[in-house]
Amino acid sequence: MTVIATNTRGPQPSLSEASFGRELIRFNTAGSVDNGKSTLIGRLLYDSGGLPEDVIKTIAARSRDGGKLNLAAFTDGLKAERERGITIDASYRYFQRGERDFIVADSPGHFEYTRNMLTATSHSDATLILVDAEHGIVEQNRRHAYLASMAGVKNIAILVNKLDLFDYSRARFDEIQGEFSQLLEKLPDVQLTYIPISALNGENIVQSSRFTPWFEGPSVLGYLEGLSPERDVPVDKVRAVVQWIEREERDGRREVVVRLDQGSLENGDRLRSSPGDEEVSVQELSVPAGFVVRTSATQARFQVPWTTRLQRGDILSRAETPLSNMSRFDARICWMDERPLREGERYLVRIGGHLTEGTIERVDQRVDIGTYEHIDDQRALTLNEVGVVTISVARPLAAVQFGDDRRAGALILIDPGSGHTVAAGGVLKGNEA
Amino acid sequence: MNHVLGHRIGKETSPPTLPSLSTLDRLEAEAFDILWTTRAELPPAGIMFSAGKDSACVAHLAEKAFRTSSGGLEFPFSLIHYDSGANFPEVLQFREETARRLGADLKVFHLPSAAAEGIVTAPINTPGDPGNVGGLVQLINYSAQSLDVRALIGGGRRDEELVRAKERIFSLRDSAGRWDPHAQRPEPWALYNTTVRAGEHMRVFPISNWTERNVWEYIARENIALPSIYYAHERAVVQRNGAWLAVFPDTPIAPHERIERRVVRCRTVGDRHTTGFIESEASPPTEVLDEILRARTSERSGRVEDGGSGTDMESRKRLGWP
Repeated sequence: MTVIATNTRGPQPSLSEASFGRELIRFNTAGSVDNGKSTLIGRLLYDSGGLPEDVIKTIAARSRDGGKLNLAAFTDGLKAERERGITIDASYRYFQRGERDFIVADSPGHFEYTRNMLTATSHSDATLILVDAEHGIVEQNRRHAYLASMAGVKNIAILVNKLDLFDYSRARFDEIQGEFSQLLEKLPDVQLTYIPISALNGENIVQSSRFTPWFEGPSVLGYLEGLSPERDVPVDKVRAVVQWIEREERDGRREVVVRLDQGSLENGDRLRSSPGDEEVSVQELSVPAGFVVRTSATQARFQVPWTTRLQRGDILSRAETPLSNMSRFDARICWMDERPLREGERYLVRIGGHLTEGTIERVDQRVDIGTYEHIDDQRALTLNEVGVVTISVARPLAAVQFGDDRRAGALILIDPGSGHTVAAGGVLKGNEA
Repeated sequence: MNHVLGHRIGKETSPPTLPSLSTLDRLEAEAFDILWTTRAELPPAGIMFSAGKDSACVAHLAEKAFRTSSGGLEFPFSLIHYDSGANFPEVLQFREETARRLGADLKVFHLPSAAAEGIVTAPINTPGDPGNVGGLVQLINYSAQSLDVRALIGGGRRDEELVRAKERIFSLRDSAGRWDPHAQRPEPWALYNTTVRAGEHMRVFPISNWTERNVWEYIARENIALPSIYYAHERAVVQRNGAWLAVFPDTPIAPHERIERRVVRCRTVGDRHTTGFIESEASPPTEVLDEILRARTSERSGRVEDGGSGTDMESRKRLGWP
């Protein structure tokens, strides 16, 4: 779709923005074909003033409509995408606004690329779902909301687009919101926001639109600026994933490097590993300069006895509240390979930091991601289908549920023959080893 | 704040929470995770070290991820340099210094020598011509085979170019080094598929999600050394295709072109015949950062090769371009 951009570039960035304390928000767009996803991203990039002039020039040259800017062309980078005028694979774009950095993934709308949609969503703090006011809620909208929730996204914004075609009618907006919210209420633990927009005309994208005086919510950018980048995590919990164990010995000890996903550490803390079930005491803790050991995703090093059995991928938690182990678990997965699932065959299972062999024992249920119904249907999952399966693994793993920790409880399955990633999902429930 | 341990005291309301990480902390943590995974699952691996700012960042991240708290460092990757034979002397000097400082194994693949030995068969351009794409692609693929590495780690970033924006962090290459953009492995929740079969290798991009601005912020924050040509200096230049090109004794000068002395710096470093300089007084990293914030063109706009060769990034990358 070719659209004309009006130039409303933001102000020159000021030096004060160069501070190192900015926060990062990751989000993705979703919607059916031609719902305006790529146009929305183009609009956000263009209107927030973050696009370099030579990029605009290249895009203008590529736009089919005599040099008018095709906003969607800012993300569709592959030849096949430009030729077919659709988004095939997720594309990552970057822009800044005030104290926030944004990474946006433009994800494809076609059903055949559902797996790319799930992948794009999995990194997001928020998912923006575009609904075409003309067509109302369509199957893909329902699917994408489900996939966002399945990917662990807690903030979902429904952008009712092309409302200009209805003269920014409140009735049409309310109608769509009413219809969609009935279904979306079934998704657990999700914050929903509805915003009336026109991506094409830039209404309610960066600033509040004068055409929707009846709407009191934020513009799309206002919504993004108001998000909190990571969920607050209680400090009394510890989730440290062993990344690396140094080979160098020093005074009968060696150094272990952990990625601290949750909680904080201090010297003398007693931790227990899963699945190895080894108790360690944190000694000579060291963190990068300028850090307190804090909530998520940073490294810490400490000393453990030379004889430790800790391995890469082991999860350390407080000794008083250890994780249990599992050798079999229920998982909800999306099948991503052309070749259907095969029960009883061996796959490589990557779960958290572990890579181990496993078998899909059986398919328990299939999920209709258009209606969110679980169906008792045990036939093999095929490309883009979602289902609940039972997986057994060759050696026990830390039992972490995806709902509690989307980093440690997520998994992919790899076909050892083709090397393909054939499925992705999360652990629902582990069974004791 | 250095090495402060323990809780930061939260609000009195329970449960207490901790502040979230800054952009750079999150990006750094992501890069560490990628480098640890590469070291653990894809040895042996090398860093494609052009000695430019992006690969200098990658080398610094690897150093930080693997240096022990007592200061020991067993640098886990070789540094691989694809030497076009037309490097800036400052870049070659920086390459040697970095390898020495890290105690890393430096492997140099010299394009003209490889062409003379018949390893590279694609035509090598004469000085002043943009590109050398075909030759470098052959050389990179040859290096992967001859070093028998399972991973080549690069400083590619998704914000550089629209095709790069689509590429995975662990990006598979077939036995001929080719990339298939339509058969990429999904990477949900940063769960990487590191499976490589005989003959294949992985290209790994730890700073995929960094912007040029993030790179400079990180260089400033971590005090990362760079070749001096990234900072303002005076040199003989000639204006060509809208950019200032460095003038060397072997630089062909057209009759209408005028050699001038200007205070310049470069935004990306490549072949000395094609790297464009911009007029700039920026010297410390913070001044460069300030300049970038005000810049109105992308960093690659200074490279003559992208504008002129007609070989677009997707075709190049399919062939094995990093």
